[in-house]
Amino acid sequence: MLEIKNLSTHFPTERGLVKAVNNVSLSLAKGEILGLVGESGCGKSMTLLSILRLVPFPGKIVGGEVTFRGCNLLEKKPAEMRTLRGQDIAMVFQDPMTTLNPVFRVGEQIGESLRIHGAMGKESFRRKYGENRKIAERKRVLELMREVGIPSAEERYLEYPHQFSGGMQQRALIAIALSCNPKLLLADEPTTALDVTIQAQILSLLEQINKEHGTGIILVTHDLGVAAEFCQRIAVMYAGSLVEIGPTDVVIEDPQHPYTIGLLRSIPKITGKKEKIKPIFGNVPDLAGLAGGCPFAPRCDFVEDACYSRDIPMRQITDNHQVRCLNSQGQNV
Amino acid sequence: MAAAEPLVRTEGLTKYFTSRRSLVAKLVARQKDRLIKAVDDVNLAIYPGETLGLVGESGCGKTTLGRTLIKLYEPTSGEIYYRNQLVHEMRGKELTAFRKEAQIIFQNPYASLNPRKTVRDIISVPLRTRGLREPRIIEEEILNLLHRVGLSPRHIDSYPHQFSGGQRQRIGVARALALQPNFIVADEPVSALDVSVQAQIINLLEELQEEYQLTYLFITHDLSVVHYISDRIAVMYLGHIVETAPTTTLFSRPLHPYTQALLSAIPSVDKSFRRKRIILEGTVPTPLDPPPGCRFHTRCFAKLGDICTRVTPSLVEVEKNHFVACHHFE
Repeated sequence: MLEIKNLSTHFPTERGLVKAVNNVSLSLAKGEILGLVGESGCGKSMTLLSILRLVPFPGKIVGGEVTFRGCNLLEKKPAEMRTLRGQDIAMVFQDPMTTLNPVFRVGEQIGESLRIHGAMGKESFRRKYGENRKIAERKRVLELMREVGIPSAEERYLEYPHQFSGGMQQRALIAIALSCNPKLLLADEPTTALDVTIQAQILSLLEQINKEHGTGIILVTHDLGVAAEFCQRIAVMYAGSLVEIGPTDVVIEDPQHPYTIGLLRSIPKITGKKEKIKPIFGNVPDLAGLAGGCPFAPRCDFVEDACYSRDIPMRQITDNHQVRCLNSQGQNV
Repeated sequence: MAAAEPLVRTEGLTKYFTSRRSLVAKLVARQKDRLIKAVDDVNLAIYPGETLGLVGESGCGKTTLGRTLIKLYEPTSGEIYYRNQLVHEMRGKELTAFRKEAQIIFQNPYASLNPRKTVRDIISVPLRTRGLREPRIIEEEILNLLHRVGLSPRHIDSYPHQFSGGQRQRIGVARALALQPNFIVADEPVSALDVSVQAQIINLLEELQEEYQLTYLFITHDLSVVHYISDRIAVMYLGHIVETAPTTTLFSRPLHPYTQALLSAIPSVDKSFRRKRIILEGTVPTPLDPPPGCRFHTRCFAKLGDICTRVTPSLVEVEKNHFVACHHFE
């Protein structure tokens, strides 16, 4: 359904060129949930924003292709992109407190995308919810609020965002995203600002949406646990590059890239006897003025001279397991 | 460990904050000041050399409890004993000694270091408090501390903004260590950090504990971290401690419904840990107006009935060292 090829987004800064998204290729099948994992500043969010062509100034998409249901989004006119956003591809942002507008009622904000995308003009919509636009909009919004699990929707419809708790605000955002039945949902750390018990609620809601509507989801998260439980495939990013991608079980149980291995070793295990966690030494590099070669090389245990000298190609390990590392076995892609 | 005298012990420790209404609201809407019951009737013991993990969701009073324990806040009622001495009766020299022994590492390494002071300034203050006067000795000691927490000597004249989050947290650790404390409250020391850096700080805290026989109260909402670092765990919900047990017991046999739900909600990379997820209804009620009886009854899936809404359950020892506050076990 979605195919990204060699996508690159660069930010010119005073300190040098920041390659926030560097040659990223990945795809998403219909109804699939893909986890995009990495630490802060590794380019996960920028990848999502690049798909929607919402990269903030001075960033620019400098190359690649984003094919969504047969057309290249990067070649579309701005007006075409606007109709697409929110209708076919919707996004749920990380921080619900700052994403909702504090001075509008929540019900109104959910109804807004119905109005903008002209969903209410459609024949099927009118048949289902009636001819009167105002009443139809209200009906659909209440239906959405119930679907995402906001209790006493009639009262909540009239409330303002500050009267909602964090979890409820996130549900409202998901309701906005779902309003036009998108084919693809981009979720940028949707549970990071929430407590674990609320996180569990939101994740199971997303799972349910995926099952019932067949919506494809790209879930950006820094929590490997979330990705492991929730996604069918996992893509790991480091310093703007995709370093490993594969089915969840393979990436978690048989990781090939030293960074993925390091990440998994840094997470304390909950079962079994206490195993000492092994941190990755050093820090995440500054993306400005990153030299060529493997960006992970300075922190890698298996580094060789060749790692610094050239850009490392993605290698195919098995059918759908790819790794960007010279030490891995497999064919260059 | 449990046979020893506790290093820190509380009896009925309570901390309320007042949420003041404006004069207008008082006069016009007849609203009264309201009490935020952050910590309510907490009995807790921390034994020398152990790490007690304190877990709970945001707003449950973990941080307030930690800060009250080291007298950063005055308790509203209840007692704190440090080495069997009443903390609120300490004066003068005794109090200074207590302040040196009980230290805190703050959650946010970006907000807890003064941006206008160099590392040398930041660490030399507690060293002077300790009684060091000679600049040469102070410098030497700072360098020792920096080395101990894994920073290089060239960092001594840098400002906080020149460091990454992980390095800043190391400065925070060095500052706490400078007073040669016994008891450290670590308030979410790793939650602002990336996973790969988080592990570095956790390992550092463990090494330091071994080296200086430190006692930790480790506050966190991250259950895999708390499982890794703690000897015992206390679970907090809306100002109350609902369960305490040794780590392995708590993870293998959680008894309180809240603990069960909390543990089941942890997303884990470890397949063998995954269990049937208990999805709790609703959100945590506000501590401004906590529900009567058992505070958890509004979300509980194992409610017994009337008694849960009327009577607050007290902590009872169900098996050795395993305490639960739930009517199922009274």
